[in-house]
Amino acid sequence: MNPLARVGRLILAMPGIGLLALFSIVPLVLLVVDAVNAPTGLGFDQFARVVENPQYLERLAFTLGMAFVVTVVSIAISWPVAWTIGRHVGERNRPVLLALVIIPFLTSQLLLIYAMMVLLGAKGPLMAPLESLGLAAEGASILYTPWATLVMFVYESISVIVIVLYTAAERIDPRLLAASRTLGAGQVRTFFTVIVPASATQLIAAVGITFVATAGAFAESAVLGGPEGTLFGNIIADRISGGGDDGVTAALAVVLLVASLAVVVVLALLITRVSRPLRPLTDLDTASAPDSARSGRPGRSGQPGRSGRPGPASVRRSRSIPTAAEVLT
Amino acid sequence: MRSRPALLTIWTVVIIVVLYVPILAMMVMSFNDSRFGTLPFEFTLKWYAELTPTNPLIQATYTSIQLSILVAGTCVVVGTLLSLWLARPGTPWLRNAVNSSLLATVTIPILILSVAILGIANRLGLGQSVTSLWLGCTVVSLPYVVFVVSARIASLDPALLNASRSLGFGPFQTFLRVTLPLIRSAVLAGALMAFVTCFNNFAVQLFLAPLGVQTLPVNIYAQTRVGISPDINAVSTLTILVLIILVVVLQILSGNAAKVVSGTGPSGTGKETR
Repeated sequence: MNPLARVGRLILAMPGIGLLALFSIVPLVLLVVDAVNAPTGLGFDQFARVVENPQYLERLAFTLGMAFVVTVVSIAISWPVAWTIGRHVGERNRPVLLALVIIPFLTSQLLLIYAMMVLLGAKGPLMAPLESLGLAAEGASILYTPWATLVMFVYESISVIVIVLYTAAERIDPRLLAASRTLGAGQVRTFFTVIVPASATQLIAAVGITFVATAGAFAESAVLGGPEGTLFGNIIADRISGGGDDGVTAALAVVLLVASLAVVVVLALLITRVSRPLRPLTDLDTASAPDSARSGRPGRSGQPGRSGRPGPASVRRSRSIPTAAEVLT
Repeated sequence: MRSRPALLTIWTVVIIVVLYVPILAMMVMSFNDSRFGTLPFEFTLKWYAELTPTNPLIQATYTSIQLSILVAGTCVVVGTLLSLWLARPGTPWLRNAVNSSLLATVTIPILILSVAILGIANRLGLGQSVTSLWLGCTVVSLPYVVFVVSARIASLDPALLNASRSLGFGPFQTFLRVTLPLIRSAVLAGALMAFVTCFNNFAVQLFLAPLGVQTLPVNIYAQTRVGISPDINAVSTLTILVLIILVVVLQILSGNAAKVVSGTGPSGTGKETR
């Protein structure tokens, strides 16, 4: 290819490369530099100021806990939706449903937070009917409590998680599910030994995106959360708004980022561990592998193990579902 | 297998409906008389009548639109050129570095990125200014444009470009007459994506906008600290309607806006190029 054209393309790409470097990568590096570069000299002084402040630590724990609950609840809500769209909806309707799921996410985040504020307000569109049904106390509302923040986070997370997990659900080979059932696994067992392992990558992605985004949020809690609901992000945001763009703010940001990434790594390792069954043969299964590999196929025409009362034989066999999966893939 | 489990179907329908409940509630309340957002419902149009050009909300909306157009324009030019370079082999280390930066930019919480961008803006002497607002919003929206446009370029048939070359077109002519027409809808989708993400980009605007420049999200944010004001309902209703239309157009143009936005990265657009 023409080397001149290649250089030309690189030159034309330079504004983009420069912009990314100067306004994304360099700033993030400088943030870390600022965090360790205290007025008193290089070191962890500023981190010490963060870590030694019990209020900061308490809010950090609260924020990570909130992010964890949001992640678990959102995935529990979204996974069945992703599964349904990925496996039980025709090719033609699928894009329509996915678009319906993603549209709220793409409309302005702050407008959605505001809409949630309107929805949850005391005597508002949600609480007034509940009151008249006698389900809520007069003038009660979760608005301006951490619960409202939680609801908002879950609401925001559903769209993305559905989109991410949908790609996993769509890809699972139906023969794996059939094999699992034939080999006597009940629905719960199939979920943990086939579906979770086969979706591990997307599950980790969903956990990572949701957790990091939630842990780093501040607008939701500022608008909806009330005084009790202050998140770690609010501490950072308030410092900046107050003109405190200093090393301690940088240290706070680095602490938040590192802490949330650490939790995500732990969760990812956990998911990977749970997903082990679908990995290549382990010594546990080596002995029975050839046997179950053969029994996988004929078993399909045999009695279905769906009834959920697997006999002793099928229990033993269902241990080697991963082996059957291996054969099929 | 093919039969649809009733419970899953019901759950899916319920969740999708729930996703629209806050939006619909706000739209309904924008026609409600109460100043405090309370029921019973009494129909009125007075909150829409308050949306005169002197209303700060309307001025903030203008600011948001201007900013988003500026950013979308920058993103489309810069992002398309970047995508064209990314699509060709050579200098793998720089290519990997650029791809990682794009991913980092969309993954790192926007709050932390904003703090970092404010830091560099202060160092460069820009501080909180229109320039830092413009560049900050551009860098945050840029990855989405690159994801959309790159996906389309990757799906192009290289034979077309080779044919153009062997028929005597130079690289520039090839771009104008072959590549650009083929990626036009993706570029348009990228522009829309940049517009929408910039319009919504609240954190960057909050921290980088100079005193006296308020975008719509920043204005609403400031007002919510005081309480509900029903003219926000009206302006939000109109804005969300426009955004929904833009997103629908975007979805049609790109075919997979959902995947790009969710951070699962670029993938085939699923449409044939010819």
